[in-house]
Amino acid sequence: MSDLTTASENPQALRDVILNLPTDVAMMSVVDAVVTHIAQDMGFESDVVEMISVSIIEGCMNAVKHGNKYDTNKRVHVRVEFDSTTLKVVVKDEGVGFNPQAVADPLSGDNLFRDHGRGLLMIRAYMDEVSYNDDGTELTMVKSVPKE
Amino acid sequence: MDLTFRRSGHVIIFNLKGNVIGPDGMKLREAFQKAIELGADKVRILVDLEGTGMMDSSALGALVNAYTHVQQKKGRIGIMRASANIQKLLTLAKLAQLFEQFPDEAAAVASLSS
Repeated sequence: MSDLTTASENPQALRDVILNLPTDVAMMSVVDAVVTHIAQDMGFESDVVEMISVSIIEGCMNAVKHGNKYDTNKRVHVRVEFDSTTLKVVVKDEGVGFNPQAVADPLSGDNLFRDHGRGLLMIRAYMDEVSYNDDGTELTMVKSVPKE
Repeated sequence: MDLTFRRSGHVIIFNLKGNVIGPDGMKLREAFQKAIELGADKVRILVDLEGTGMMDSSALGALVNAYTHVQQKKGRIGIMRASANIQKLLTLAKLAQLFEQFPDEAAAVASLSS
């Protein structure tokens, strides 16, 4: 893959990569590979790159499973925007949406013993900013390179 | 993910290598289930996480699922050699207290066999 972040003409310029993927769990590794490459080039520490990677996988898996409900007629749309300091990843599904506030707290009571429902917890812990659009079909995750 | 398992006395030891992400969580869940189904009552499971990189929520779910089923058989499940990042993840998810943790295999097998 070519160097996406060090174009000599203007390293501060915002760049983007757009991926429109089939609803297929296996395709999520494509998103992971692209975002990991960009994050490494931006200079994130390796453990932070791992956190970003896990967050992207969680977001995409949610889009495949809960958003598109494995419907292969639908797609997962991923937009990666980045400059020299900030990485933004937007994952959009073609489902009916959901209310993120209504997601059960995985840290509460018997929820601790559930075998699912921790993805959003991890995304919120690993990324600097996490938000959904109004109908819950679009997840935006932002991570910035720490200032020295 | 590279997953192998073996037996040491009454303890079934799972070795996990590499990242456990995406579809790996389901494979891990199925492997635990098979071991628990085949194991006797009071099944003992040890998960060796040395060499395990990233884990996602699906992998965590597999561990919790195994914990629940082991509890139902009045068995025990422990983990050993988890990296600092996985320790942080277990703490974040409030799961650290669910799993007995051991520094090495000898200590784990001795404890889980008792």
